[in-house]
Amino acid sequence: MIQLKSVQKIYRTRNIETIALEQVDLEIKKSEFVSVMGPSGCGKSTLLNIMGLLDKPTEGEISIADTQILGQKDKKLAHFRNEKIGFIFQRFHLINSLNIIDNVELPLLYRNISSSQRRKIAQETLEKVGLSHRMKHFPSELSGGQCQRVAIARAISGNPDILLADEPTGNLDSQMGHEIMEILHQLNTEGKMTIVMVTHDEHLAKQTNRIIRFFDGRQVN
Amino acid sequence: MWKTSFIQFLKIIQQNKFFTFLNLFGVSITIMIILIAAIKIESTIRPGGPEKNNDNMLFIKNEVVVAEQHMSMGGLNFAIVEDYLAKMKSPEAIAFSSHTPWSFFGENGVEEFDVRNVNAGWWQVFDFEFVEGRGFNLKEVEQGASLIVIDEKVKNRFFQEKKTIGELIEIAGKSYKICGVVKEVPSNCMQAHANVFMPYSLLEGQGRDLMQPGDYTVIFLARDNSNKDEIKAEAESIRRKIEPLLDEGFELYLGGPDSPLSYYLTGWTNPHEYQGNARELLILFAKFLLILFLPALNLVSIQLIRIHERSEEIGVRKAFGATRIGLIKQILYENTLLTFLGAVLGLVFAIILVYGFESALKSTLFSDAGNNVNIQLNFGLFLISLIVSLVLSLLSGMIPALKMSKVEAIDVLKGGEL
Ligand SMILES: Nc1ncnc2c1ncn2[C@@H]1O[C@H](COP(=O)(O)OP(=O)(O)OP(=O)(O)O)[C@@H](O)[C@H]1O
Ligand SMILES: [Mg+2]
Repeated sequence: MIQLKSVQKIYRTRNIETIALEQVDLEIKKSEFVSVMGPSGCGKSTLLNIMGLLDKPTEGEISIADTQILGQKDKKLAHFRNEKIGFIFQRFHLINSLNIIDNVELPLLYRNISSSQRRKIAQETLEKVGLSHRMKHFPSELSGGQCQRVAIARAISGNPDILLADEPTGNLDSQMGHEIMEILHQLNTEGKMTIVMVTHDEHLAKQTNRIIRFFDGRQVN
Repeated sequence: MWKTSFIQFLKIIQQNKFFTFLNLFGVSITIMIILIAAIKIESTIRPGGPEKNNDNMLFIKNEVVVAEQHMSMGGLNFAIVEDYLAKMKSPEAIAFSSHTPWSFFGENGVEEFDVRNVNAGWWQVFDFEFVEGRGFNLKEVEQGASLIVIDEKVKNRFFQEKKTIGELIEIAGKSYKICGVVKEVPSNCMQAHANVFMPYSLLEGQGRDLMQPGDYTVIFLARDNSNKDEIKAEAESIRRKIEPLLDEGFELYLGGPDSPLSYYLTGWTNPHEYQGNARELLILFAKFLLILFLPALNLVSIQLIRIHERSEEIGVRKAFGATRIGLIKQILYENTLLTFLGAVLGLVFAIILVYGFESALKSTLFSDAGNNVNIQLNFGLFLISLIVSLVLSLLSGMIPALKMSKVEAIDVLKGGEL
């Protein structure tokens, strides 16, 4: 599903060069649930952003769902992200000026779907994460765990093949963290979604199919 | 697609009420001010009443006699008017007048009336509405008949319901016979306005010294636009004929013949600076643009501030499939709709002012004699303002839109602050 070949990412600022990723070769199969671990600053988020087509590698090749990504135009990439990839962030990143259901509809806005159809899909997705009774609320009126469940609903409402989650439980207490993990497992087993999750929690990582460890921009095993 | 964008737009403006308010306020107040200012300008350029055909009128309102160390300006000299301009061949009709106030001392104290001394052509050039009787003709003017035309205000003051034609009225110690009564002339008809009209030939001892400007105005009625050029050419040839009759070294300038619009634009110009109307029109247009540009500028600055506020939203939208072009479109669309709403709101304000607070508006715009003026909104101007402000909002929206679309999703979403 996701293939990285000799991927390198170097951040160049005025006088410092930071090598965030070095010689990363990685393959993630369809319907796999993979967790990425490593100390802070080792390049986990960078990896996820590159997989999610939000960032470009300095060198190397990426293919997602058997499509070569390198050199594609912004429009094509945006389209690809919209269809294939769903994101979940540590800080939720819900749009505060929109209510819950509008937030969940977001990926559908960039598709050719009627507004009633969008609403229907968003409602169904909210039911999956157990928040259909909060549709008209605004993000500021929800707890952290609830916000992350909304973020999950938003990430999956477009029915993507891949779910990229950067420390989805990082801002939550362990009880809420477990709830989120349960939903992710369900999406993986029942929805056959490919999931890549960054986490610092060894316990949560052990529940996944595979753990990929990073140290200083390099994959270690 | 448009429906989706529109629904989004409604959500955005509801969620950012303060921003929406600032934008709407800027655009609507500007459009309203333009429309109300236009009423004032239009009442000067197109006053209606006896001047309703003023598209075909050309005016000479003043003259300048000038030498190196000397300059006198004023209305037209009586001799220039009677001996030359009034005898021009090209115009359809020629009117001229001078203007004097008449103070009447009665039981109510002093009452002021306007008196015009006019020629017979006056009644041809202007479109007076006679309630009774008629104007005086050429023969009567030449004979110096003591005839007079009054308006309804004077009639109501001195004669009430009585028959007035043939009655005598005394003005400044002299008696005149009333031959006609006209409807009151709106006070913004600067050229035709007066309460009393009498033949100019009744005035005595009018200055014929060509070195001294007088107090006459001449109005030519043209058949069509090419006739206007002929009239201008003939007036110029007369000016050249008179100039040698002035003292050695003096030059003569005539303020016209010009249309009401160009008169409005040039005002009382110094002949040495007089460069035609194109420049003035350009200046007026520039002012118009400038006024409309202010809310556009307002929009840019508010939007730029909001980039920061909205950067998370932009980043998230990008992560979930928004394209750069799509975001630019969305922002421009938001801007344009907001400007459109503001403009319509401005029109609504102007309509409320004009039709709901008519007398208050009139007395504000025209101070004293306001209630005598017809005012109307210029919807053509509204359309122009709307189009110009839409174009400006599109142009000004480009800056924030481009900037916003450049926000990189990763910079926002990485977890760090911008
Ligand atoms: N925009 C940037 N410019 C320069 N250096 C950067 C930039 N983004 C990340 N880096 C550097 O790249 C390295 C990897 O960063 P990354 O965010 O991927 O780490 P991480 O593993 O996600 O860490 P954490 O667990 O703290 O989230 C770090 O050393 C970081 O300082
Ligand atoms: Mg990180």
